[in-house]
Amino acid sequence: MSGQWTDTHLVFRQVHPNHVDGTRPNSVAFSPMPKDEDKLSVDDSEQVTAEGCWKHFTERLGFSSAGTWAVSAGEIVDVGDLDLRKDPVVDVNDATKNNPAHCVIDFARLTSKGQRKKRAQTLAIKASERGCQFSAAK
Amino acid sequence: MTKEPFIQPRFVGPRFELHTLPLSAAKDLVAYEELVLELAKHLFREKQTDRVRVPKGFANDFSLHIEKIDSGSAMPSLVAMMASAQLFVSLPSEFAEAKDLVNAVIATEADQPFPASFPKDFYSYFNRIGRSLKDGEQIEWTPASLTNRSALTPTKRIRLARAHRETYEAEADVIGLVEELDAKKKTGILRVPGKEAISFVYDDPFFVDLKDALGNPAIHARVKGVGVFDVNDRLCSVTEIEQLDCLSHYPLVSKIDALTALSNGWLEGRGVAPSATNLDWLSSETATNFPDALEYPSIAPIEDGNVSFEWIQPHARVELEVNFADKQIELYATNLTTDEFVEHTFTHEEWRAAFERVRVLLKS
Repeated sequence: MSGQWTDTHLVFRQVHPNHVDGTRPNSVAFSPMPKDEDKLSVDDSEQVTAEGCWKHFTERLGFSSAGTWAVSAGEIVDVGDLDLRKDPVVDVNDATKNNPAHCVIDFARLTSKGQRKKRAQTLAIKASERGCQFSAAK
Repeated sequence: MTKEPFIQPRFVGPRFELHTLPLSAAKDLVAYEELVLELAKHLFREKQTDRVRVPKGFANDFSLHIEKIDSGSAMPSLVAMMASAQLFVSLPSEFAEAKDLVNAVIATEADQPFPASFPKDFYSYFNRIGRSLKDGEQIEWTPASLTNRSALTPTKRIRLARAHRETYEAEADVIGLVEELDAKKKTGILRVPGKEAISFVYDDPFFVDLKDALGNPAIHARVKGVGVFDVNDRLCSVTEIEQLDCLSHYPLVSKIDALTALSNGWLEGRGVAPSATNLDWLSSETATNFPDALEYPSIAPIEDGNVSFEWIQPHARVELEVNFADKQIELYATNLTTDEFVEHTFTHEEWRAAFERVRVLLKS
């Protein structure tokens, strides 16, 4: 992880409506899927608000999200073998889809499904503990 | 017996396109027959102000018979049957007047006044006439009319049924926990999640199933029958049970069943929808094997078409990921208090062992 992140620095994660139980996101919401190529998309809280990244995700990209949850850079470090890095999106065909706040939590160093599950479950516990940062139901 | 053509209504809707009439629709015609008979008596009494009762032989075993069912969609031809008698050799005119008055009532639109000659108490017959109709269906009582076919739709039926009452009857389909049973009165209370309790009346054949479900949080009862609804269309009571099903672990199974609504691409354009076959199997296995003592998990579909059961605690997560392709149940559990991570794989035949392992992990 680069030195630009402090332990309390938050990154936001959008959670699909099928991946939340009341106010608590399921672990699968923090587990990169095949489409993600081991990289979990998040947004930098210093560049966008919880509501702002939800709006970008739902209104500009057209995806479904029940709301925005967050984990800290320190929690990502503590869980081990994950890398957090900036990954700004530049869409040459549609500038409205650009996302300078985009970051990824990279799971590539983990070699087994069990290792990835452990990290995803830990991040989900931490995100649940912190609570929903912006709810689509508001 | 005498026989006279009476009326040929037209049942319109997909169920009637093969020119057949469901038995449930025949119930509507039975109620119509009762209304015509009682209305004819009423009209006779209105004319004969010195008579309190209609004369003997007025109705003479009046009944409506289905003579045939013609096409388009289904048009049952109803004939009026009367026993021959000296006083009334043919159908009294009040029966035709009653038929016309009923047609006029049904033809009344929402912004029009009802015919003044139709007794207020008789609107309750529309609790039964047309009750079998589903959305998109209707009965046209004067199908040949060029101006108004007197079409009875489900919406119009409810408007007529509660024209002079605050409640109306309609088909009820409700799922809840059986909270109380009174075997002597043959009544009970159904607790519908998130709603008020609903009283019901039952017949003997349903007693054993209702008793099994009584006070059992793992068994929900699905009750289909005749319900009484208030002005806000809220079900108040079930006055007749026609079908009863006991559903094991319904809160959990219904969440699995709800995943059938997913289509491919459900997750950011890529998620694979679980197949209906896999979900049917999962519902069945869950209903059969889920332990009564274990709390219900959260259910989440996964991008690859599998399904995750997840028990969520403040300090821990326990997941059973159902892998349909490999016929495996994969357990993953993280406990931040004990700093433990558990991983185990069960076969599709080891549901009970998997749930037992979850139970133990949740206690740790």
